[in-house]
Amino acid sequence: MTHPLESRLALYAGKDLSLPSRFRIALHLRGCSRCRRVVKEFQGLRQLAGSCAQELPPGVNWDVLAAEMKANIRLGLAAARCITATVVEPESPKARWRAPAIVLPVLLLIVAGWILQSLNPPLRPAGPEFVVEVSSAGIGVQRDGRGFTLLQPHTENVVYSVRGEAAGARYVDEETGQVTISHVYAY
Amino acid sequence: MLTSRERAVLLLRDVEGLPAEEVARYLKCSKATVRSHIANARVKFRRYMMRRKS
Repeated sequence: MTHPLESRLALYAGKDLSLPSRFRIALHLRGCSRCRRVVKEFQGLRQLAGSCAQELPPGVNWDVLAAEMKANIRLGLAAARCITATVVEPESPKARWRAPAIVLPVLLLIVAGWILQSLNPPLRPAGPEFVVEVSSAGIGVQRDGRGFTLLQPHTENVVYSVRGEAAGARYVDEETGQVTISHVYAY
Repeated sequence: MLTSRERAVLLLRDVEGLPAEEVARYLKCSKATVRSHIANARVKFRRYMMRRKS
């Protein structure tokens, strides 16, 4: 009797053979107890391999391993905290220009306002005690009994105008044709 | 002693229970090569166990 090769029996035990090969070996196994025993051994070894893989290796100090694993985990967490604490996101070019783009127009606006204000001082309303009056002599401003009068030439060509706390006078010199405009503000 | 290839095939086929086609795909080899490796690995494993018994 010719026995199949040991490797063929090993493959048969793991059902790794093609159907015809399996059939041929199955026929042989019916009449060969020796090969049946070998196949059984292979099948047992397969199960043994599976159970051996689940077992933990002997002679290992698991407490030390567990302590090392905990230490590694703590080290990893600490490293992660360090990284997150020191990482600074790179400033984008847009963000770099954002602050000057906001501050500069505001600054220009403030400077322009200051310049305009210094050039044209705002008219402050006169207090109730100021009195602006126009008479034939000129424009007078009085306060608490004191005041002054901007004298106008004695001509009939003077045109007076009063608006709020301001009064104006305008006349044309008949000889020279010169126009003189005077404004008096009371504030 | 099993070669690294035989050990890998033995683990994938007999321990993990993967089919031969999948083992061949993992190891990027043909199914016939997987069969050859698994046969050698099982034979070596059996001989090793027999030596241990004796």
